[in-house]
Amino acid sequence: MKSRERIKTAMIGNHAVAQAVKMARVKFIAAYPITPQTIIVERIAEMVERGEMEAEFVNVESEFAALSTTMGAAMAGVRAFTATSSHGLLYMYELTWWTAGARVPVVMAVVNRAIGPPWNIHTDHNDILTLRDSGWIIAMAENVQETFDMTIQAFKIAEDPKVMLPVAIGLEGFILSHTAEYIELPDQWEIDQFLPPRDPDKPYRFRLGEKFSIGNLGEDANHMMLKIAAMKAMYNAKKVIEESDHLYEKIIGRGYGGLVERYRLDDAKYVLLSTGAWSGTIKDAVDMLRDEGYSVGLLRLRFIRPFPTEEILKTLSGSKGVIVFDRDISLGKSGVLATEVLDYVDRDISFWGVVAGLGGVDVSSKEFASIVKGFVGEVEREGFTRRETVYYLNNEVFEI
Amino acid sequence: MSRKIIVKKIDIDIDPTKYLVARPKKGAAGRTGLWRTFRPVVKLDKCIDCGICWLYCPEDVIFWEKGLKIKIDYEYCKGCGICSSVCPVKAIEMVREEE
Amino acid sequence: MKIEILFLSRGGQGAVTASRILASTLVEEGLYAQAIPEFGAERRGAVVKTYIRASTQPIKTHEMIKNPDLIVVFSRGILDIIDLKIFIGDKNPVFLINSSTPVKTGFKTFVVDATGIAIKTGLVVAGWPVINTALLGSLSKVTGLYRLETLIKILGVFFKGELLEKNIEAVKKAYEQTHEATQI
Ligand code: SF4
Ligand code: SF4
Repeated sequence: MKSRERIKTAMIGNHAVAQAVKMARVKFIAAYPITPQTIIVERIAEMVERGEMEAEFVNVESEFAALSTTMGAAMAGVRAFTATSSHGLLYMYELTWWTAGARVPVVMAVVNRAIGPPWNIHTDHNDILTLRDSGWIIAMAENVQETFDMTIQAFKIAEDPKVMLPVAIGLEGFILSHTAEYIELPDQWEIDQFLPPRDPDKPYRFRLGEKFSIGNLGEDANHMMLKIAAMKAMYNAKKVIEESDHLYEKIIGRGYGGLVERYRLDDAKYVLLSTGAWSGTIKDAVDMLRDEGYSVGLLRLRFIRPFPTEEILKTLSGSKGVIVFDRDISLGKSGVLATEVLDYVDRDISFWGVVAGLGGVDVSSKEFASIVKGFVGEVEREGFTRRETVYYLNNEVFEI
Repeated sequence: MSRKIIVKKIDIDIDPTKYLVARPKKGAAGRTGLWRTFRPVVKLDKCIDCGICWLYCPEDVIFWEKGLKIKIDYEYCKGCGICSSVCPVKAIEMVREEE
Repeated sequence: MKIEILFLSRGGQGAVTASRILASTLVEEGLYAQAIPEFGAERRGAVVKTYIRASTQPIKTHEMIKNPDLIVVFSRGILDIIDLKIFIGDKNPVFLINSSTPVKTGFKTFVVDATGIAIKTGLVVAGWPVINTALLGSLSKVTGLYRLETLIKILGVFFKGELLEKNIEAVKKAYEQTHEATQI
């Protein structure tokens, strides 16, 4: 066994993505720059230009072209990557459904940014959540280290013959994309061991001289069967995600727990639930609350699709109260995660769906702690509470 | 910050114009004059009254009236130096602000 | 140990680059570090806040820093624009200010004439004195969190050739010339 000579440094999230793409030996990249994703594109283009990466980088005229081209390359059998954000993702939206529908295992970084109007370059999660029903596997990173690890793992998951679905990795604009953080980089041989080259023939491969088309008009029942098959692939992905995480931990020495990460949940009476970079901030809040004697823990969703139903059910059953933090909103319903999690919250368990942090509004660990105290206080005063949607802004929790 | 949280019912004004509409106004970006590290200083004896700086100033803070030459509003001049670069006779010098 | 630092600078003064050099330097010293830039109005001259955390433990939070232990002011003029009260909470911050003369903040304050050092060292780009690295030299002295040699080593990752030489010179001068000038 070769010795580990890990590079330890501080790196911004966008560079971590680019580094992961290089180390995953990606062969094809097409992307169109948009704030705050631009640095990913610049860095990859630089590495290809300098010959540090053996890959083709294609300059495209739009995000629509970026994903079309990436999808095409992947259909021809190579490992392919693209990256976008917010309005860029919306501009390529039609193709996102095509990529998933045609079961093309590309990986895309989505640098989360609020969708206008008003124009805003700061983070929230609504952009990546537009992929929710499309057939993309959706992952959200908590920090720069995980952004790197997740990008590597994404290829493994996407290209698994039991899965064959595209993966989108969310890293939050500025607070991950432009934030320099401690990171430990594995050696190339470790990554190679974890992630062998892609099997170019799976699920099918366009090559010269062979005549076939993908996704042509057919019987309606055929359409429906394709969707059901993709659903099965999503279910399979749950296991593959977990296995990939274990294998990664075995080879590289860092594991997260699969679809979810459990933080101080053992014996917790109150369960907090979140995804993305502010989960780290919420962990600090959990620590503060625990110090004050509150029985709380955090269930962090690393993946939103496939949805970690079993993990959520297991964690929530027997809890006294659940509070979901959504940095997104499904207008006309509630926070997106709240909508999804509510299915698994028994009628006698207290619940708050808290929408906060939209458009990049910062929420501190102290603020999270005081929201949780407000929730626990209400449960203890009233015996029970159920509020599907409350908002947190300017130190107030309110309903409208 | 650690004040007690009690859920309130808030009556929201649903008129979106408040959050959407922006109209031009003087100093919309704040007192941009405070951003300056260098101050454009005009040597009026050198100035040939051509108005090019007036045309180029991105903040619209140069006042030019043919015959009277130019005047700069230092309250909002952000010190970008474009006027100094475009002046054909180098009549505008960028001088470091006192710090 | 956990230290939270706030950089107050103007767009174009290189605070974001400085924060990344600082984060790398801190990691090189065996600490955990995080540098969060606050982007928004990315206009030359506007006030930019950058947050840096250093800790012996992994850093989980991604929130902005509201009550820093240390405030680095990239140019004295910023103090006329920003109301310092908003950064004062349970902790009394220490100040490091780029200024050729003492500045009254009401708190423990260090000054260094980083602008003067940059001009003398020939670190001037497009008319702007480059003061960001010099301030990192000062910060080494003020915080004692990292050694000057470590900073110089990391500078070598970010700069090459003559530019590197000038930066090293500026960093050393700034370290020497930084002095306490507290006026309550
Ligand atoms: S420095 Fe810039 S803002 Fe000021 S007057 Fe000249 S062009 Fe206008
Ligand atoms: S560009 Fe120069 S010469 Fe022309 S009006 Fe301005 S200052 Fe005068």
